[in-house]
Amino acid sequence: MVSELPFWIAYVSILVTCVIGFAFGLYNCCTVLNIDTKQLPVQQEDKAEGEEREKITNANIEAMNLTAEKIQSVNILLILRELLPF
Amino acid sequence: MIHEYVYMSIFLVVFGAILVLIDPEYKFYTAMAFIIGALTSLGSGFIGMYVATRANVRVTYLAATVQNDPARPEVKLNLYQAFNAAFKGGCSMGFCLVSLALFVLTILIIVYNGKNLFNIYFIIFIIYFVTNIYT
Repeated sequence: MVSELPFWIAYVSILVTCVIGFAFGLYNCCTVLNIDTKQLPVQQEDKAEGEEREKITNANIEAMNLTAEKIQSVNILLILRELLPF
Repeated sequence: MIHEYVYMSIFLVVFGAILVLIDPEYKFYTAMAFIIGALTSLGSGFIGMYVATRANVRVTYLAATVQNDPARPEVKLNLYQAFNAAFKGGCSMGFCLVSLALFVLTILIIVYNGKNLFNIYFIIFIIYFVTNIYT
């Protein structure tokens, strides 16, 4: 007859470890959720830097539009060349 | 999330019925292990998504704020705190999921032990963890 005591010791130790692990996870969760996002000052962006960035963004958008138009015109020409017999 | 849980419930019922049909010897125990494993996994997933979404907001906020610490004026951003918050957010999900899964598995083994079903342990183990990974 095999004694069941070692099995029960293992079961109880596993359960206790699980409870401790779960409590640690909940503690971490509460620590993260307790961070107040309203009290910290938000980083203010420099006005000149913001304007410069906006200029660069606008220039990039214009360049992309031009490239897109070029690609479209090339595609239309290619399609016409494929479709037309001459 | 509600849609996901609705689809998972349908899958649970259908696959539980299939398990009952294809396993004539231990049909009840196998299906129970599958359903309990899936429910545990759904709970873990809910905790994980709840924590992850809120932790991400806080990490982003901390990383974008200026630290006003007079002791360390050279440090401008809250990256240290942001990293800590991100680490703890991931840590909480991992700890909750693993400990919950192991807890329920141990309880299942203890309950099935009283019925002298030693040879079903392996099946329970496989089904339980496959269900956990799937969900």
